Amino acid sequence: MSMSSDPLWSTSHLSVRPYGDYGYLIDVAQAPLIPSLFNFLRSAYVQDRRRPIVDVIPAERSILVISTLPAHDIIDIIEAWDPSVEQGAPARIIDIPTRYNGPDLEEVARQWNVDVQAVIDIHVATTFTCSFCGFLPGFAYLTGLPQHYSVRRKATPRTALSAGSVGLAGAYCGIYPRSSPGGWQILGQTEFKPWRIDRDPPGQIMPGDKVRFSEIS
Amino acid sequence: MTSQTKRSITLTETHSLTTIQDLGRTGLGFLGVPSSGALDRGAFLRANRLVGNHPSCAAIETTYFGVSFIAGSECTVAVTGALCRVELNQRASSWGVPLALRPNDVLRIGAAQQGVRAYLAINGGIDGESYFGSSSTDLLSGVGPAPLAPNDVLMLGNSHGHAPAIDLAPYLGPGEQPLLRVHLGPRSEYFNVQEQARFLGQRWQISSSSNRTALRLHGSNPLSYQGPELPSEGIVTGAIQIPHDGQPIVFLADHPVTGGYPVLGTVCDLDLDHCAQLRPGSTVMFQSTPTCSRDLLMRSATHHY
Repeated sequence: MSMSSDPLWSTSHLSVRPYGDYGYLIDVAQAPLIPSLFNFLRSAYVQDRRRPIVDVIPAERSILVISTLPAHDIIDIIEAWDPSVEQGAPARIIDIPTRYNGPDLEEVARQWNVDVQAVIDIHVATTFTCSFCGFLPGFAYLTGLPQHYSVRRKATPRTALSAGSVGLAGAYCGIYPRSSPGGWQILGQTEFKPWRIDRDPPGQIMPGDKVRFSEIS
Repeated sequence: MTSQTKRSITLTETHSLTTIQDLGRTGLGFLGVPSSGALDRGAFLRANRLVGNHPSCAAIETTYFGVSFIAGSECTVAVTGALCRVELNQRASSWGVPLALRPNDVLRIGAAQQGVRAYLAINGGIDGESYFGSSSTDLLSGVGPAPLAPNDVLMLGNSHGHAPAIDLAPYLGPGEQPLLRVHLGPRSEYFNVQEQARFLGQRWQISSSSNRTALRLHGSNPLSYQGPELPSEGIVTGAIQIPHDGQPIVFLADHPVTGGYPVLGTVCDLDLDHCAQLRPGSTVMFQSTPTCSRDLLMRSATHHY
């Protein structure tokens, strides 16, 4: 009986562990490589009509592959990935017009040790990248803020944040696709709809996309 | 062979977790959408087979409490999953076999006597609106049709007219001393040998807060672990996550796509159906297994039968 979960395969920057009957969890040492590996695996999924790869789920420091393929085939696919090659379509840049009227602007300003206008300026000047989606359908985890601008979540989460709330948690920025309880620090509000069930795909911000916020009054 | 007018049934009694389910929607985890779908896939598939349906036809899933309806036209129905009383026009009828209904017949499915979730399949399947290739109600993310309510009229698909492939489904519940086989990992290194033995060596009680998202377990010896804070990572159906309180959570079909606590092990795909039928207050044990059942996911996850 095996008590450990040794990696099936590893390199200096990747390791692959089995996850249940059909999962492979790929730990990625360098988070910025995740969109490239995600796009590579996703194109392998889209191109093979047999659909042996059922899903590819990127997260903060890992990618989960759900597949009926045996381990050696999955490892062959991963080995074919070249991180220096641009994967998939060039990143789109999505503009998010935002009204900076959020209830937590002052708290973020205190945590950053700047004034409220500087919070807005820093947020607008940052080019974010969608690292992964989760939490709610269409909720994109946007990275790009330097680590020293990480913010603590609300001590007590709000019971209802409205759809379109733009907030920060840790070094992530996110837009609430629908009304939900949440502990993120809210900077403002946008009309942008991250989740549109009438579109294909319904998620309007996908892993790898670039996102910029612009201030509207 | 099939009537030109659209066939339907009209619901007369439903409960809070009466939903439409099929095999779920796959491949959307990267958008934050769980797979959803029937929790007890085996029982769901048997119900469809009893009425001659394609395995992907949508059916009704109940939770503890039953469902009643009036047939709008001739139809063949079957009830599987949780054992429950079945009444046709107020007379005792049969569970686990195809039943021929005429227009205005009333079928009533009672509360579960063993297990939790019953499946009602109707020949032709429920012709519900499809959301990303599935009619399943996903209670976590709100994707799919709303839970069912009295007076809902459910349209039925065209019946192929095929004779049922089987005419009797056995009850295949989890049994008196349920044992769930698990593959340890991917984060079992957070748990030392004593903690892993504690996990495998005790009876875990099913909490009443369990639902389609997860089975919540309670044990008298909660687990403890040490290790760096784990960044959120993708989770699979059957993943056994251990939060800080040491009481395991087994993720089911409506689970969030990512989670931030270490996953000690994953319930073997073959045993996931049992998770759908474990009643609150009952207990379960885990057994470590190294073997895989990869061929079965071919069926369930890719919809290629």
